[in-house]
Amino acid sequence: MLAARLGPGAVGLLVLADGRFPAGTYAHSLGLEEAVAQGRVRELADVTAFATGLLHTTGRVGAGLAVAAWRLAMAGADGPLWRLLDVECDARMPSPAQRLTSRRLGRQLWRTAARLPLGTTGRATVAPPDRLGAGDAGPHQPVALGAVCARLGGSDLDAALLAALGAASVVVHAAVRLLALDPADAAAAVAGLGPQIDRVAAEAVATVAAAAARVPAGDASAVRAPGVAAGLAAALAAAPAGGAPLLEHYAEVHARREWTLFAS
Amino acid sequence: MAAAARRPLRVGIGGPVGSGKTALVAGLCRLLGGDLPLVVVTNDIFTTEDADFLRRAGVLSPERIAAVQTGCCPHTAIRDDIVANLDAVERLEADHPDAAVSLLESGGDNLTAIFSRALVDVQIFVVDVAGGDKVPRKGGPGVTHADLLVVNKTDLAPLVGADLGVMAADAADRRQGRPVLFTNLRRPDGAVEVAAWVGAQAAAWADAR
Repeated sequence: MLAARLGPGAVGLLVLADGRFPAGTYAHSLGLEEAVAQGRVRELADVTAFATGLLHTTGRVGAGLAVAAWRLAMAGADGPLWRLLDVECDARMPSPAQRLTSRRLGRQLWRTAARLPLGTTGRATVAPPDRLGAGDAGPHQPVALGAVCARLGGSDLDAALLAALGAASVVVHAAVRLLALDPADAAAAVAGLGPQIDRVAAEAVATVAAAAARVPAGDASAVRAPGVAAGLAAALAAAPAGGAPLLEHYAEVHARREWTLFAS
Repeated sequence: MAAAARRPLRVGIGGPVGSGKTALVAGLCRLLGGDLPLVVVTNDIFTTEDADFLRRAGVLSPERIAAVQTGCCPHTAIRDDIVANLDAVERLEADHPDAAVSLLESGGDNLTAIFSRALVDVQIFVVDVAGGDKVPRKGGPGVTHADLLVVNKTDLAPLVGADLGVMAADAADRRQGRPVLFTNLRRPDGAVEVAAWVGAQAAAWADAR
């Protein structure tokens, strides 16, 4: 059923979704280590609740930004639009520690994914996003993910789905190591979040698509036309922007701790 | 190769917990740092502790040391998914273009740990006498394939009933001629021979440019 749904050319995306894809995510907990340290997460049910909260806040934002990045890649966007998206990402991540983590993961993802063969229907980015950002340079993680999905021939929904699934998976698998959970419970927990992951991803696509309705996606020749660029810019600005102050708090406290196992 | 040769020689240092990896890095910094500009990436399951040790030891200025967290998976960070370490070492090398050698210290792990060839150019595996004189015989990729095997804490051999001769013979058998050095890294000059080996590797690397 999976193969019939995915069709030819999906293997590259499955490689990207594989937990063994070497993009450095295994060393991150996205705030869970700090939540455990503060005694707020103790068992499997807490982990599921934490992941659910993350999905509907920063997860939703990440999925929307990944969709926006996918649109830029498919439209053959040039430097100014990528830089605009970079600014939109920063604006949605007030915590410096979260920005650092996002750029670190984005850099690492891009490093590996840029070496995958271009998908048969894939689109290589015209302006590679890997040089984005000042100081601690590199693309934010959702930017890299959206561009990579376009490269592999994936859809905007694929980008959103992988963004949301990736966040949930990182949290739950960090919990296996922090709380010595049953790995089968962890796999079941991630699968159990499936309907919510689907919903978050579909909403991210719909939100950005509504704002970009005027933009002819995939028309590289038109991207420099003022109307098209303005439409894409509107799509970027329309990406979800919800926040999660407790996750920001966790990220900032974690970054200042001496004894941590995870990088976030 | 041409592009790779323009960067410093990357030396991986791996081995079990407590065998003396950080002491070796500190010794190498002390002995080599004057002649060969160094940068150091440490991986530790407890993150910055090793980097802090090196900073406190005053053997290297703090901005030449980076710590990488491994999420409880030290072997993953040097073998299966090396991007965080590559990212860290490339950034250090870019910030310190004078560097001739980059040392990458793995978090303590087991005998199966080994560095990816995409992360380091040569690697040193550090075991210790107190772990038992059967360690070289047990083999594993670290013992058999590392470019240099260091057997540390030789001073403890009589105290733990370890036979250094047996360890040397087993290591020679397992390693088919690759070099083995016995050290006592608690001595101020304990890393002299290892430093000489690293220095020779760095010279060969520079000659290949």
